[in-house]
Amino acid sequence: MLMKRTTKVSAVGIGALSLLMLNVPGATAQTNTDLKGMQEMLQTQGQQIQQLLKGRAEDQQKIQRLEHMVGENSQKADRSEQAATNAQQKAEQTQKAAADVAAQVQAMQSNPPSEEASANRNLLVTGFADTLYRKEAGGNGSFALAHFNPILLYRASDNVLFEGEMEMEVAEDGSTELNIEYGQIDYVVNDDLTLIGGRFVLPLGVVREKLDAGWINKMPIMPLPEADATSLIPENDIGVQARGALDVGPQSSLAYAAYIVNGPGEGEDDAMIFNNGSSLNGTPSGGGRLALFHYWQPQHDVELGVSGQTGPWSMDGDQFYSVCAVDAALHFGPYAECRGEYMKTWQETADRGTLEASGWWAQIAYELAGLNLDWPVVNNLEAVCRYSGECNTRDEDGNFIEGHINQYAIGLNYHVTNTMLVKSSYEFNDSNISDLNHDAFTIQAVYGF
Amino acid sequence: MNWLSSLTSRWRAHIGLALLATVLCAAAIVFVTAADSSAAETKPAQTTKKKAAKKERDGAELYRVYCSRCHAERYPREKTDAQWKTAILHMRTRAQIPAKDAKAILKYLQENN
Repeated sequence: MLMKRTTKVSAVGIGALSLLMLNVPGATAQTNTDLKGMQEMLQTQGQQIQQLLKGRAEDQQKIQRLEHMVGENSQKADRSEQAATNAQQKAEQTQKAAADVAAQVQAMQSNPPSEEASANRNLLVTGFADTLYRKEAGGNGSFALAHFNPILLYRASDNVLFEGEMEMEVAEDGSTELNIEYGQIDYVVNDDLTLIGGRFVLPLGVVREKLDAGWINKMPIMPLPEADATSLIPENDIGVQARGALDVGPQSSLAYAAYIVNGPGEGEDDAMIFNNGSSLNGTPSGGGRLALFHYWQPQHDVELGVSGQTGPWSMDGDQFYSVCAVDAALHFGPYAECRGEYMKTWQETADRGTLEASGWWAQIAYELAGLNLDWPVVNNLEAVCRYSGECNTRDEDGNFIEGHINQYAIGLNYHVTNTMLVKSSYEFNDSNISDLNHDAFTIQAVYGF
Repeated sequence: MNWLSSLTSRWRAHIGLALLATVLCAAAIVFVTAADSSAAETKPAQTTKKKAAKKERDGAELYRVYCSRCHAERYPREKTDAQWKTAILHMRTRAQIPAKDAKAILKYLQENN
């Protein structure tokens, strides 16, 4: 637009000069007036031209400033665009990091940190505790803290287990007894063989190994051949054992156990002592158990077992102690169970020949829930009957005692929970051994944990 | 049985242990033979899979078979996975539960605790 205006002014100036040159001869007088007017007009136009030129210069300056401003704005825009890009990248990175964290949190929630990774992952404390009240005919009734038996299990790996059971007991005289029922290392060699070393419960019969815990034993008293006061067989010993279970059919298994232990020893007055710490004659005893188990359906099964042990017990190693036992169990439904054992022992002596003793027991238990009565108390009750006997026996000091004992016991148990019971029994004892010829009532509260 | 009574107790014990050892050896032979014959059998893969699936489903049933033999039910929620692993390793040895059945029981307990 500025250029058009300049061109227009120049054309007007040139036109005026041309007219002036063409009219010079004919109009002198008038010409002066006209010339003067034209001069004024030219001056005016010259001024206008100057103003236009000045405006043009100003316009150019404005253009330069605008161009400068445009450049600056362009740079600012570039910088803003770069900043926006950076911000977007940061936002994306942040979003990605948040997504990663969320994925990790979700993974941790769905797969919580394994206990296998924690320091105490494999330590398990289980066991049982019981307290009881016992009243013998002709004697005083008494409360007793019978047992507190924590069992410590430490799984060092998938095939190594350390296990031990402590028995804390308050004796009749008020003293506290602490015994190690067993403390052993189990090494699972393969699916069919486990090796055991240490002090373990002997697999003679089934009571000591499997039914000894108060919340499992269906009576507050033990069968005579395994009771402390009349035990015919040792409870535990120190040595090594190999055991396992083999599948012998779709619903059958064969359990085996073979062991070598220090064996019983000779105490004072030619008494034979069980559960001794070390071997007193340097010759170990050997034994084992073999049992066949078959089930038709859950809780419908039968088990037959035979077990035995033999080895020298006397200090010189010439006299042997041997035991043979058979055991059987039958479950015919979830509510009914029959069990029984028979065992015979032979103890050679230097001056009394071979001392033979035998013991047996049979037990039937029935949970009244099987009657389908809609009575909550009755449904938690379990009735138990047991017949137990011995022909000759052995006292707690290991002395052989001639005589017989027949014990008939009836019991009633109330299951408070699955592992908490209140058990009661009344036992009728018939014996020509005076200390064992007393009927007794026992009630026991026991909790398995 | 008169001849048995005439033997000394030591000989009776030795005979008893020998019989026990014989039975153990016979059981081992039966087991090894059974294992070899089962390994030699070639069964279709589909049948094997079906059998495996059946075994997996039987964890609860095996729990009732073996654990109820001696004691009342212990609820799966009583222990964590690792604790059940330890407890079953203990019970497998103590109660002499066949390994594959013990593993199925463990799986059942861990899936329902």
